[in-house]
Amino acid sequence: MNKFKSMFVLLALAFAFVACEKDPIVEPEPPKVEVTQTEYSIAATDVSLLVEYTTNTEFTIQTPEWIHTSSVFSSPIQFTIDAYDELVSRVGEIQFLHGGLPLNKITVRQYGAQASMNFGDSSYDVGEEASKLELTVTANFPFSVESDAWITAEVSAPTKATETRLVTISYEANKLTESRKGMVKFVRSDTSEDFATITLNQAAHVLQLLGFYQANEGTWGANNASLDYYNFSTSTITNHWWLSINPDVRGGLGDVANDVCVYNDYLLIVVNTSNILEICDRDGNHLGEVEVPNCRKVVAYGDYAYVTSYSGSSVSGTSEGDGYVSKISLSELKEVAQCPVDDQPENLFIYNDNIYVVNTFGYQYPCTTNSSCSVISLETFKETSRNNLGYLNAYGAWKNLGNGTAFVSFSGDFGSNPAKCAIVDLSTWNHIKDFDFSGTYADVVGDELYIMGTVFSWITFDWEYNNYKYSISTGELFNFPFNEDIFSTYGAPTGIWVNPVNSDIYIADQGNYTSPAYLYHYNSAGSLIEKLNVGVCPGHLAWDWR
Amino acid sequence: MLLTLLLALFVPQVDTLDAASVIAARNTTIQVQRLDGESLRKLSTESVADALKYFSGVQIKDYGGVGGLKTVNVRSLGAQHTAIYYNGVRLSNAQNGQVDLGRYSLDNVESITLYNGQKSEVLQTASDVSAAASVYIQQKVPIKTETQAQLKFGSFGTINPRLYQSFVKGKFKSSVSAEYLTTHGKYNFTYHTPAYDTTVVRYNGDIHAYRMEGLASYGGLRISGYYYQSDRGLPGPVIRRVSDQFLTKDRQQDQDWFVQAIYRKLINKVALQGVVKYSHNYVHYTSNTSQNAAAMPVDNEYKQNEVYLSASGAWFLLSWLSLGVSVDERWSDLDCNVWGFDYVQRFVTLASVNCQVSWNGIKIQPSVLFTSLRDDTKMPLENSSLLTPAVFFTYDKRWFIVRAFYKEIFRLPTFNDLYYTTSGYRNLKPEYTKQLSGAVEINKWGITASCEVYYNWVWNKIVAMPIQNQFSWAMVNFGEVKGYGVSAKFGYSYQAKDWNVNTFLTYTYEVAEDFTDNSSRWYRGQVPYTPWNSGSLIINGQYKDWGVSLSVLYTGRRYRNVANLQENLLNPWTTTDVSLFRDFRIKKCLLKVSVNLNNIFNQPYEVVTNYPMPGFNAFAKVSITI
Repeated sequence: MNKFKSMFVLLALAFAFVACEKDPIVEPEPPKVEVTQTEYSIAATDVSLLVEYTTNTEFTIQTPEWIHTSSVFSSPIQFTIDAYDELVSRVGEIQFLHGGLPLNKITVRQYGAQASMNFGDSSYDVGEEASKLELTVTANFPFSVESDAWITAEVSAPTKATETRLVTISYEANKLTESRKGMVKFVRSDTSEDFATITLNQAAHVLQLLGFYQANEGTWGANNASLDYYNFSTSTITNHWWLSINPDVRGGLGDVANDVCVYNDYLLIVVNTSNILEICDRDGNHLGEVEVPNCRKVVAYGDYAYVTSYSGSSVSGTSEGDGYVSKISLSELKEVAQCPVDDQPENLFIYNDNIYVVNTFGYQYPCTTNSSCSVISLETFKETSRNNLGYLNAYGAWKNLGNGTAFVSFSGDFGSNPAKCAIVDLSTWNHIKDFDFSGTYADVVGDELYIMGTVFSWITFDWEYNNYKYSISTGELFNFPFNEDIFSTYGAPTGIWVNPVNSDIYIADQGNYTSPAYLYHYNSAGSLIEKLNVGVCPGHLAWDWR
Repeated sequence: MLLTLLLALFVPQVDTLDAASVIAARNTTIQVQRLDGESLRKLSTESVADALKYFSGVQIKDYGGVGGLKTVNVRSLGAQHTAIYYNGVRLSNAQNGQVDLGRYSLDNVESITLYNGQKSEVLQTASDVSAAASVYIQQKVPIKTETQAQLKFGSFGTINPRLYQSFVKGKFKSSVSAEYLTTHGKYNFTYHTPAYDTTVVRYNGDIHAYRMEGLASYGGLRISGYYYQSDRGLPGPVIRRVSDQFLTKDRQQDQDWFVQAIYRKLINKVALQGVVKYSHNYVHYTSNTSQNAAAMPVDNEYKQNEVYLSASGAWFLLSWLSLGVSVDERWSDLDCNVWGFDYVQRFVTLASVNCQVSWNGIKIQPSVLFTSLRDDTKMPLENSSLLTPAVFFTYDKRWFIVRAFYKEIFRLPTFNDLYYTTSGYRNLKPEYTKQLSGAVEINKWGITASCEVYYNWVWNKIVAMPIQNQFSWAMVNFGEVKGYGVSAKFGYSYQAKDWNVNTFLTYTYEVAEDFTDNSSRWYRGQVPYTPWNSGSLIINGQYKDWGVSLSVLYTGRRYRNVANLQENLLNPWTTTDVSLFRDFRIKKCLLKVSVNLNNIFNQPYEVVTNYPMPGFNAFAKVSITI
């Protein structure tokens, strides 16, 4: 139409020119506005445009609403242009009119805006606790958010561009002991492209010692094993804690709880005479049970629990010995493999991709075979070596000292071979130290090994106890901090554990061996703090780090 | 006033009833309870242990089933303080001091008598006075020649045939019997959890046993012999297991036999008695890992021998004074293949002196027992000798009787307590008891009523404690129990022309507290398995040849542990048994038929925790005597 109009004007001018030639009378000049440039392209954010012109008449200007000018003209005219948010360009005409007739015009093309978003910082450092961030986000395009599994991000409402929106980023507590990085991505809904990313750096979980699990063996045949829980925040012990959570499990916890172990999200309890590995979550909820005849002790690694068993006859077709280690899948709740070891395997620990299992030979009378240590590769679950531990009946403590050595105690044969303990090298199997005292129970905290030995003396016909503290790095042996005869009030001690946070000492007492007994709590200086009521025959404790 | 108080305090004591069941043994200074053969037949009893349940102040430890161990504990003194005498001679078990009452037949038993304290005769062996409580099982001496064939059968696949032959000619009386018992022992029981109950089958309770007994008597001489052989499963406690494996596969074989002779002679005012006995016990216990992967491998044999000799004399010096003296010598040994066990012999000498003074219905009988012990083995218990006194008192006014006694006695540590390598403790002291007891009894108008009170004190209790670690155990003197109790008994008999009714009721209130450690939380806790309240009721009815008997036993609330906590509380139970019997006379034959219906309300219960007892069960017995 504009073209047509121009042509019409030109045609009219041509006629006039022809007429002039025909008629030499000077005709008045027709009104006109002439501009130096009729087309402009401007950026979305340009705000002014200067247009030079010449004219011989008065005129008015008509503009689109996003182009503004003053009503008094002189060359050059300054046009003010609104900033443009939309992503697609727009075109407008500035018309010069005289008496309602167009004299001239300028075409203005304003390019579309850049896709833009404003969300503040692109990285946040957050604490280990679960929490959320609320961000005010402005963007000139529609978008959605995506995030890593432990982060949930929500946009207040999917709207059109230019609006301000609220983005809520919630994140879970970090249960890992390492820090972690997580992403929140803003994705353009129109083009599906990732537009921007926010990074969350969450601090590592600092483990808190919340309490401990105390397994009470119970009396053989009485089916009265129990598990208590001590809560540090309330300073209370809950007796029969496991039973209170699992009243529906037939037979209760069972007969003789011989070990308790905490691993990742699992709480594992070995119930010896019941032939059961009880698998629970950390809150004590029963997840499953796996039958392991004559099961003794448990450790766990990866998805597997490893349980020692005195029973050999279920290892069909082998003559490898009388005991084995059962490998149990915690996710499938079933035994997946057995590795035969030697007679009466008792304690075990995992170190350097190996399982170190002590074969006690303790049930054998006469007890003449030295105990041995079977090393089982975690990868192949095959025994790679079997090593003489030097003395009889390594029933009692078996502690990994972390520096390639282990502490081992020997009960002896209750006769001419008395109880002893030693520190052995896990590669050469040499005895680094030999101690001529009983080391029935032990615990390691940091550099310190706490040893508590009990011996029944055939000479005095009474119990004798000893307590030592051993420095792993220097090899020095110290007397225990107790300054009084703490054992005079005991039936007999059945275990020692040291609080890894404050080095408080816990010692279990058997009492009269058939009735609920006590757990004595001492501070690191050896003074009695409290006497906790526990179940029958307390003997196994696992710390609840979370 | 004071006297009345003392009397009230020293109350009672009884003898007992008659025809119904428990027979009053009059004219004795001892508190006696007694069941005679006819009463035993009427009651629904399967063993000696079943019969003793009807006595007051008695707790039977019953591990359930036909083959389960059954021991008797009188007034909470402990099973090893109760001596069992068979045909007058003590059954002893030097190994563990326990006598399994399930092994002695009720057939051909003349009477079962329980004495608190001891028998009151002047002529008795030193062994007769050597226990805190005594149970006498007396076989019948035949009065005529006859042949009897009997068959008992019923629940748990039980079949029990028996043959009996007696021969009597003049003063010579003899009998011989043989029987076989087999049962598969399976029964259902209810398995409780806080959440739900399920019914499970009890396995490995089978038993196959042979028993032979012989008796010969001529004048004052009585010779008897006994042979018992069995093979049984030991079902073990019911504990949590995966996939319903509530069983062990442990087995035990026994072989016991003994021969004994007693000779009595009265010359003027002097009575003499000689006893000789030889016994042999063999036990073979196996827990085989090839049958049961979970078990600890055990294959042990125990052999015991015993020779017992006794000489006693009584001198009835004056009408109001008699004296008694006795010397016993007991040799026993034990050999077993437990590692580190050394062959052990034990020599025990017992000597007792007693006298009896009676005047105007009052009878006082003091006695003293001297015990000397010597063990011969590698590391023996120190030789020891002890003197223990006792005194018995009776005031008898025909229908009104007052009795009282005081007795100190102990039990020696058994070979089990002393001589196993990992558990024996060679420094043990005897487990000591003191008893004080009094009773009042009234017999009139067909009514027998009595009331007894007692006070007991047991210390230096011998218990197993773990040493060094939970791996090995030792026996130690640890524990003190004080207890007191009240028993009341009431009996009534009514006799009409064709029929009669007898009722008998007992009730016992008992307190037995643990005084071992006054710093313990459980100080003065009621000792395990001692109900505060217990009782029994028996009603017999007879019409011509028909008879019916109803018996009810009640055991009240008790704890399975000295920790008197809710978790250790055992629910009361009541069992009701009914028996029906009839005698037929066909020419010269006597046919006896009886049916015993036990636990008719199918009450689930446990006497010992985790050893469930059978529900309803029934037995029938048929015997023909020619």
